Amino acid sequence: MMQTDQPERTMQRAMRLYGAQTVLFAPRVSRLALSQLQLPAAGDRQLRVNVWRNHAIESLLPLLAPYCSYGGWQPDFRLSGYDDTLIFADQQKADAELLWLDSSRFQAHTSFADWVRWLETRLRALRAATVAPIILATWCVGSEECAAMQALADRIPAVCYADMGAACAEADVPLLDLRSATLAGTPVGKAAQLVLARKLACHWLPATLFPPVKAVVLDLDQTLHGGVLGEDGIQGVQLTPGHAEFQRYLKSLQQRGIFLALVSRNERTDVEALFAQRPDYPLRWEDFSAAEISWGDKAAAIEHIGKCLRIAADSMLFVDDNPGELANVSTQLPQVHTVLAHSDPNLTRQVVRFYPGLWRWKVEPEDAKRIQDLRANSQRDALAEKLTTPEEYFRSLQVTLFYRNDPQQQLNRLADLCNKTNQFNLALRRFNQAEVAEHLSRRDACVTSVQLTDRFSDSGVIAVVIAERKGEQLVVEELCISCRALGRQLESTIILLALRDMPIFAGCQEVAFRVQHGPRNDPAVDWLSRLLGRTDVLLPGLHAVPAQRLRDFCAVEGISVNKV
Amino acid sequence: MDRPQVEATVLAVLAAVLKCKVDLNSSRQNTPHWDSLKHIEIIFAIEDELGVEFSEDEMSTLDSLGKIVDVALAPHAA
Repeated sequence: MMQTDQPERTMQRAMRLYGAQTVLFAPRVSRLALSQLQLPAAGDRQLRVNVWRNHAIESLLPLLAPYCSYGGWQPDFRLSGYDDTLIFADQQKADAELLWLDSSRFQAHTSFADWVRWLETRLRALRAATVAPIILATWCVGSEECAAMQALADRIPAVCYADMGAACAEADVPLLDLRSATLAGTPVGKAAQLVLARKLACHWLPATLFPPVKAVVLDLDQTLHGGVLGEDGIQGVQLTPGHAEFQRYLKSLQQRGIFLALVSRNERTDVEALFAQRPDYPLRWEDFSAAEISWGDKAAAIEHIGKCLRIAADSMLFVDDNPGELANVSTQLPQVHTVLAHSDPNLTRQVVRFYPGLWRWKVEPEDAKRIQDLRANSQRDALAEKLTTPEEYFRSLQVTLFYRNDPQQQLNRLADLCNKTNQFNLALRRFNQAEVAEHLSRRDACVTSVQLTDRFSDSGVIAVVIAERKGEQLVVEELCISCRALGRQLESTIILLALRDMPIFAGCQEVAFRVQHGPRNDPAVDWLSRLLGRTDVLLPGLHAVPAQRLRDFCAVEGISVNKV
Repeated sequence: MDRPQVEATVLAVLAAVLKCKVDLNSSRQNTPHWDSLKHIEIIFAIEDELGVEFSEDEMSTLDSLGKIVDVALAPHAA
């Protein structure tokens, strides 16, 4: 038998996944077609999910499996027995905890308010037992009850409310079907099972467990419109209702802080003229945070876009109608996510909409700032060219740093930073909300956030530093600076002032930084090497500097520092 | 749909869900893979494919290909 090499296998896998998109993301998914799908093995990414339930989930699991394979992972569900009391017996370490609850079983003998009060005690008990994210999957009747359930989830760190009723309403299928409840062991109906399986595998679990997709990189011809610009001309390419809907959807992603980028084999002037002369296009030229229009290699173009946006290859989703082009990108940049744009733009929209890692539990105000902040970079670069010294530059830019110790209200953002930051992330501890909250509550620990503003934009909270006091040492357990704040020579000021201002810094002799090497965190490790005056490779573990170094440190002149 | 078409659809569903060889004589008794979990998958898939809806009582008694086809072809199953 002939051996296939890695690029060949990557390409074959990608082709089979593109072929499966029509079944997986059909407007009405067919159980038979789903059962007949034979998708390639998902690789070695296996994630364990504890399922605590009072109704059956078993009939969803075979429906969910092909979506997990498509997303490149294998779930290992550990199912509890049916337990209305949620005692969480034999709780073992897992990547996520899923509460799969039939709300009608509780509400048959208690009021909604009492149930929520009781549920909060059980969620807090589980929270105390594990730091893994908790997904609360159930349904409520009416918007007030849904809001109360969401508020309950918001009160406890790293708990997300998966509203099964809302998911089914959005898909226009009934959630419940009592006809099959006895046989299936759940009142969740057959159509709802398909909707919820896809929602779990493509939205709820990936948003909990995976690094997020931060940019959608789009081909133009036959993707954003029908036809070929170079052949059909500006007025000849067709914006069908489906294409317009797809563009509106993409625009909504941009408004949620997800970058849009354009990669097209065309003349740049033609593409700019297209967006200028087609007011019917919902997307405008300025909606693209980066554009690579050339006749060159698309993989190289995507690499360049990643650099422009300061994001890694595995944060990008590339959409193109040409399977060969996609396969070429997959083999050259295997970390880049790829999907095939179909001749039916409505199907393309569904494929992108359900792509694992693109959906978010919440949109934070910080997310919306990301795109505006990147736009401001060109203005900053222009200013840097005019001014000669860093002091002049910072003063002219009106750079201001705001330091906050133990900011409870920023919990979501801080956990996001820990989990989304790849380049300037020294310890790669990837603390989730529960772990950050635990540090916030400890007397021997401190969590400091740093917000950055300048005259061009408010970059929002761009850094988190989490440290613990251990005897005479301050140990830095998590240190992340968002890529949007890098390249401005602010790293030492951000970090050392944050540490120096922590209450637990007082009286300590050393500050030890925890180092872990990852695929992309060289900028953080290099910064520490410079601080330590080291030229050799820093080994994983703790690296200490005398605390006096921090006491003697002077911030870069021209920066305004505020302690909030 | 006539009987051969319904039989072909039910056979396709059984083969896809059970991932084993099936024929017109297949039943829960002679097909070890056909357990209670697979049974509900089969019933739901057949309902979708044939555009029928079985009653709650029928769902638990349709334990062979023959019975499924008979009930699916019965006038009330629509």
